[in-house]
Amino acid sequence: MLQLVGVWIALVTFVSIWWGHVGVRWVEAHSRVIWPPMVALGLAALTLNLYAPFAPNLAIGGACSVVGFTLFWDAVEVYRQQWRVIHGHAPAHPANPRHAAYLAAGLGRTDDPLKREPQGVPVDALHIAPLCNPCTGTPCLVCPRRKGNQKITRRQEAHAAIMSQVAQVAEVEQ
Amino acid sequence: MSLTILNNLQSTIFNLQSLDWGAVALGFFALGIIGFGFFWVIRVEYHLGYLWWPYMLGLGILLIASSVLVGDAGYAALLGIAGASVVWGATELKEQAVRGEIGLFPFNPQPKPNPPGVKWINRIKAPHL
Repeated sequence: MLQLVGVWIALVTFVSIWWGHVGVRWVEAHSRVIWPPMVALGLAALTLNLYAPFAPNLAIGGACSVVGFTLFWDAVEVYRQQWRVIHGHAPAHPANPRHAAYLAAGLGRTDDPLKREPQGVPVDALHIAPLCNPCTGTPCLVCPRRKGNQKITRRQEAHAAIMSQVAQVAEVEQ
Repeated sequence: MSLTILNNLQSTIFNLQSLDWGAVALGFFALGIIGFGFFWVIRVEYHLGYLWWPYMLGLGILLIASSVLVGDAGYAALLGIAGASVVWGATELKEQAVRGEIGLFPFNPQPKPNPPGVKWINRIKAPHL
């Protein structure tokens, strides 16, 4: 007899990872404040994992736990996506007031730098993005150029500077 | 009093033992394998290039298909999770190539080996979700 649990869990895992990539971008782009979706995702993750050991069988329990853990990861990714937008590594959504404030502060970009076919040679697409701070020497969580333990302090400094810049623009607009 | 607490503790431990922790273990495994996916996608794209995506896709599908033949549900689920992660990684290779080219990740200037059947692979648009 064929064992179909593997195929079922594979399907669940693939859809969960897909949601983790596509859904997180959508949620971050459409949330005025990012902590409510982060908390919701975290609570959903916790609930599913608390239920998983009580599930009637491994197919249901495993699916709950896999989705739960990917939702937990998604909660973290929502936070990281915010910084990808700020640094211009992901497109901003101008209809979102938070993203509009980033754009007004000269941060981020509306086009998607990743929406292109590979050319096989380095492309200076990111240089079009204004004030890409991590790429000009301020390492951060979303930038692979960070080095050593100093990254934490420098990242926090960079985040604080960017947030104060955004807050200033938001105050002026109000 | 202390005997009651001990009995309650014993019964709690017994109840915890009777739960199916294998399900949570699968979740932990998924978390680990997805994390490993980030690592190998970066490495494979850096050293081999994104054109190897059909082979990664095939490997993932093979893992999922082989899970059907495994008798134990737990091991079948592990194979399924690993396979799904590899399938997803295959769809990420193209985007990783772009990330390298625009400077988000180190770009490998060395020539990359062409996969067998590269002529056919070039005719198909690399999947990206």
